[in-house]
Amino acid sequence: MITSKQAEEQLQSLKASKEAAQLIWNSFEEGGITIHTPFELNGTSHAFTTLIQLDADVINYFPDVGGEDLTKYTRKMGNIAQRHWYEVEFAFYKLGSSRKLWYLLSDVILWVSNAITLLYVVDFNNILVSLGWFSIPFITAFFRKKVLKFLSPKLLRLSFDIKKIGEWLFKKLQKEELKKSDV
Amino acid sequence: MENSLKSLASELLTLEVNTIFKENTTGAKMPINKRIALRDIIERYRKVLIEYGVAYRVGQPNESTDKQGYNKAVLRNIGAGEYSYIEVKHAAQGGKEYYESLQSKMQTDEDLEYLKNRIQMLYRIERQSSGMIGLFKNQRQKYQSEIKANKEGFDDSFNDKGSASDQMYPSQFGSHRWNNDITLAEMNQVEPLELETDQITAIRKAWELGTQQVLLQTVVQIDGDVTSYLTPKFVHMPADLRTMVMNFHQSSTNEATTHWSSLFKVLADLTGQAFSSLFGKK
Repeated sequence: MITSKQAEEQLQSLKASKEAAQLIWNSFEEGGITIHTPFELNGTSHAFTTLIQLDADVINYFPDVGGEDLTKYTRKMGNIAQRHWYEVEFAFYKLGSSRKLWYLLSDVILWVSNAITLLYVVDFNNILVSLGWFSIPFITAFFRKKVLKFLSPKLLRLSFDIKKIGEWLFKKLQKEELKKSDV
Repeated sequence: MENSLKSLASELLTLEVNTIFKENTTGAKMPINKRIALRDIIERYRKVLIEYGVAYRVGQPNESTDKQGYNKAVLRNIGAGEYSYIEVKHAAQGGKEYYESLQSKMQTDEDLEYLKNRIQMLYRIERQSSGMIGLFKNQRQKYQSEIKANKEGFDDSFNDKGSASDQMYPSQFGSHRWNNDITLAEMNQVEPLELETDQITAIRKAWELGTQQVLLQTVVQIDGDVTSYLTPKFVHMPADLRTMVMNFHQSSTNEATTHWSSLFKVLADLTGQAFSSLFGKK
């Protein structure tokens, strides 16, 4: 049984996820999330800026304070850089908290698609055949964890091996072609 | 949407962290109208090509060759569409080859470094322009049926309308629905380009990087290879500033790598869930 405190916590975390999803959605339209920390040095405006893109690429702008005597401002610049960095970390944290919502959405989509598929295969005139169909998910659910545990690392390793062999073959072919063209 | 997600997933195979030294970091935002953003990008490229002496704008007072007799590329297109980016790409490519041929003639290390910086910038212009050409090729593909049906605003080919060789090409308004070789006033009037998320991300990257000099770059590959580039400008910085920039770059690389791996985890979990759904209830 879920307690009201647990329910409240779940709700809060989903709310945070929603905000993060909103952040991601905005960056879909703008190509990234910008974190901007402005400051003044001797009456001139400068800023530290970081752009986080959807593919996780990052572009940092370090302000070129040009004519200023940097030795005088190293400490101040260091503090502002630190403050900017906290803001960037918070943005990354918020992006990370969207996971819960994605999982929830994917669960809903999968449940709906599974339900539609099962309803489609049900033959109401032949209950026995239908029961046969229904037994498949239950049997596979029983073996699922073992299959996944066994297959996942092997598949991952295999894909890296294939990539390495492919690269090696490609280089070999290139070398052969170069040799041919030299001849 | 499906294609853009696929494209984003393939972009996830490498992680790139760039640190740029920038004057006037007052936070100008990329224009909401992507047509204008594309124009901002190409105008900066054109400016650099002219400044480097490898191209000139037709009709403007400028020599068509430099002191060494290099035939500069002519910039005749207006706007920021496929034809403009092809023109800029060729100018950058020619300029890069020309500068590369000059490398052996440089007498001091400083001159050589100066030339190498320019070669790098021309290479970036060439590469980013290629990306934009690809973007418009995708647009062509997307609107294939409208283009074939000769619908209004979907012209397939370039139309110079008989302009003389010493004149700018006219606006390609006939292809404005998929392209952007039109005047600034037209860009503000016509409907925005319909772009996918990965295309917007690419435009944003090109807009942000522009022609700024990258100080530090770290590229992390999916198979664990990490490559870092330090530019001479960074190496020659005062020690305090260099440490600060380095720490800044280092922190963002760490954070981005963590975020990157968590993105992978989400993807892996979601695909794992899809896989699990084949085998039954979670």
